[in-house]
Amino acid sequence: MDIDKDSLPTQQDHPSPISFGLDLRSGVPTYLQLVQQVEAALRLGHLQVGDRLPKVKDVVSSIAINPNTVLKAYRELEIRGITSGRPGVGTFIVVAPPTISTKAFDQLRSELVTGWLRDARGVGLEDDAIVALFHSALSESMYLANSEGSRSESDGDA
Amino acid sequence: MTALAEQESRGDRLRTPGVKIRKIVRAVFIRNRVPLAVLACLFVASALIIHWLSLGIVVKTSSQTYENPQYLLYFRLLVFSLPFLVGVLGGAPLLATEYESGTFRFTQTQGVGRRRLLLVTLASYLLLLIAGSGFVSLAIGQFYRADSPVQPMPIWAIGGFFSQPLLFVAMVVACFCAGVFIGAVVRRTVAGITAAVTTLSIGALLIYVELFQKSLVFMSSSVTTNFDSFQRHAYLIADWVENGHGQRIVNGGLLSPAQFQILHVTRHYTFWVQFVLASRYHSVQLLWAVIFLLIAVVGIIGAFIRLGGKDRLLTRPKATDQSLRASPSFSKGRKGEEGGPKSGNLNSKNESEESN
Amino acid sequence: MNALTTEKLTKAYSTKVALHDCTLAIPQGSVVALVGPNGAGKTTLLEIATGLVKATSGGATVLDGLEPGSLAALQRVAFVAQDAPLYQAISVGSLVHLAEALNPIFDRDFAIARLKEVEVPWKRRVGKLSGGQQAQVALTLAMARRPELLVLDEPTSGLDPLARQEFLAHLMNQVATSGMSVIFSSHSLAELERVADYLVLIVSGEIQIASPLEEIVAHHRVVVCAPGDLDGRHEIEVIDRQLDVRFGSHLVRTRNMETLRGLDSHATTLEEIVLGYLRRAQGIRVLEEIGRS
Repeated sequence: MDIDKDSLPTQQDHPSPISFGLDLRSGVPTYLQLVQQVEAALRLGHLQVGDRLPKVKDVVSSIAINPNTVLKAYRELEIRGITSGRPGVGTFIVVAPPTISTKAFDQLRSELVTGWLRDARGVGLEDDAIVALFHSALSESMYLANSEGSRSESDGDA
Repeated sequence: MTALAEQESRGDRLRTPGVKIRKIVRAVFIRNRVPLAVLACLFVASALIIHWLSLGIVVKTSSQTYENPQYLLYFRLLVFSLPFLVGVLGGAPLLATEYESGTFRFTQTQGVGRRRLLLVTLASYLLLLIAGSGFVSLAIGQFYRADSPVQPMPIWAIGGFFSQPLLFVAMVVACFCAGVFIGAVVRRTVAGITAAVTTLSIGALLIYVELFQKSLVFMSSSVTTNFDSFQRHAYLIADWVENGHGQRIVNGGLLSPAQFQILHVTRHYTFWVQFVLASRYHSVQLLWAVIFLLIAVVGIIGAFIRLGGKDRLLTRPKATDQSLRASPSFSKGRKGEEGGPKSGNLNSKNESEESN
Repeated sequence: MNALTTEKLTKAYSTKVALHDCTLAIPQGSVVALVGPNGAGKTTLLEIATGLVKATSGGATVLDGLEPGSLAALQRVAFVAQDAPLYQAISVGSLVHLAEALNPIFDRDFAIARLKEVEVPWKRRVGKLSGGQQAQVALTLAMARRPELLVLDEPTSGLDPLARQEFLAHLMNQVATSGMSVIFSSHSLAELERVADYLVLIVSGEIQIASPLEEIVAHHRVVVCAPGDLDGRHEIEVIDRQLDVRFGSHLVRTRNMETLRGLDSHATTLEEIVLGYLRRAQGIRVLEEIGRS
């Protein structure tokens, strides 16, 4: 990491446009929070193609997390095709994340309202119960995706 | 190549060049500058006081007595309390405070290596002690010169004997090392000082009432001369001091208490011993110096053992077993037990690190 | 490459057994959190790893085969003991010089810069610094030695929240820069979840968990069911359950998610997992006490 400092001093002059934050109570794995924050920043236009993500060292110094977590998040972003790492230079945004079209969004929404939510009310669930159920299902699907992801990844390493 | 040898060679290869002695001495002076300064001051002050006493001694040549005999008392007190103070205030707290305050956890985990550090610390202290007590012994010598016209203190008197300059240095060193050892054993400052006071007092008392006399007897009985009578008398003294039945024997015969009392009061035995040993005065002092230095060595070795050097000096640590060291199977088994995906992030850390 | 390896490590003091048959293999480059209740044996384990304490039986090596406390190990392992014991009577500057003189490698510029950063006055006597400042000084001295393994015994206990955050940030920065391994004991679960990637949970001298954090989360589930539902299933260990209920949540450990088929199970947080183990240990202790009386 010292190498890029020497060879490319100009990199220091352009701080990355994004800085990360952390919600420890969310239950979302830390690396996933970083991934989501990058994606959200892209969607909202704070990050654009060609922007550089902050250095691992800087992320670690600002929010006090394990450097491996940052590396994992950056790798995840690369796997998702959002960023690309250029050795000795940094990690850069190459593609905006695939945003869902308005049409698909509307469709999902109406399916939820006319389908699942109606069924839920039909069996007598109250609002609180529905929210709780949704959260539990969401976190389960997230962990499932997560554990499958890391399994296939480590298989790849082996 | 055995596993052990392999490990040692690996240790050597990895070893950064050790810390230079000069640096460690600097560290010792930073860490112990207060006690070292106190000790140095103690020596200088004692030397000055002894010098002042020697200047103040006034001899009445007519009666061969002093005008100010209390000076002799001050001198003796000083000469005997100095090793005592060094042992109690310099030796005992040296390691005891480290243990009490927990700073040994700091000192003993530094890259210098704990044995090397302790060795250099003790060596620095001993150098200062030898220099300081040597300086004081110069003053002692000067005191004797001033005192020589009178010789009120017979050379065999315990005070005169032990304040011989070189013996004095050995005494200081022995008291210091004994204090260090006691401090290392007790590991509490105040308790260590108390224990050192007790031990050194008992030692001094033993020397005063028992060991000194016995050493004279021992030396006199070992003297070989052409004169049978000297041998006989030396032998007489040896038996007379004790014969195991609480009886005092003279040349195989019993000595009545009254006879003993006479001999004792007139100090005949001292006379004989002195007579026999007159040429051996320095040998006896050398013997005592050797005894003191032995005490010092035992104290230092004891302190090392107490500091956890024991198992490293005497036995090989078990951790160097091949089974543990060459542990691919062991660690594999462990990971297998935890099972599942071994996160790849540790391995790939270096690859992705470059990208930032 | 292992930062710390122990095999059947046991340490018995005259009154109690501090560690019992502890076997560990912690890969190099890890940030290891050592967790457990007070008196569980955390400090003993750390002191064995630094060579301050000798094991009664079994062995420990650091940095691939080095004997703890040996010269080679001392040169490459730095330690900050609990409550950061430092010489109180000398100034911070003298202490830096002292540490420099006691180590073959010492980055003085780093130490000076970092002490300035955490606003520790160079000339002040160590004894006059606050507990937090002393902790910072001790950590700075340890980091300036550029160790390959840094062992910290409750490093953040004396720090206020802001100082704690800065401390951890700095530590992580060093890990990112040098790739050193860190083993630290802590009571703060939130903190360890954040900075650690490997967890060792130790209760009453015995190791309960020793795994990368991700594996721990992946291998534990909370199953809501009747107690009997778990019977007869393979490769499953029930860590924590609510007693005397017909239906409740169970913390289970399994590597085979298939075995939980047909049950209502969900993933849980590291904090819940650790608490489950602690509750189990406490339950065992209560049972033992009941049995004894």
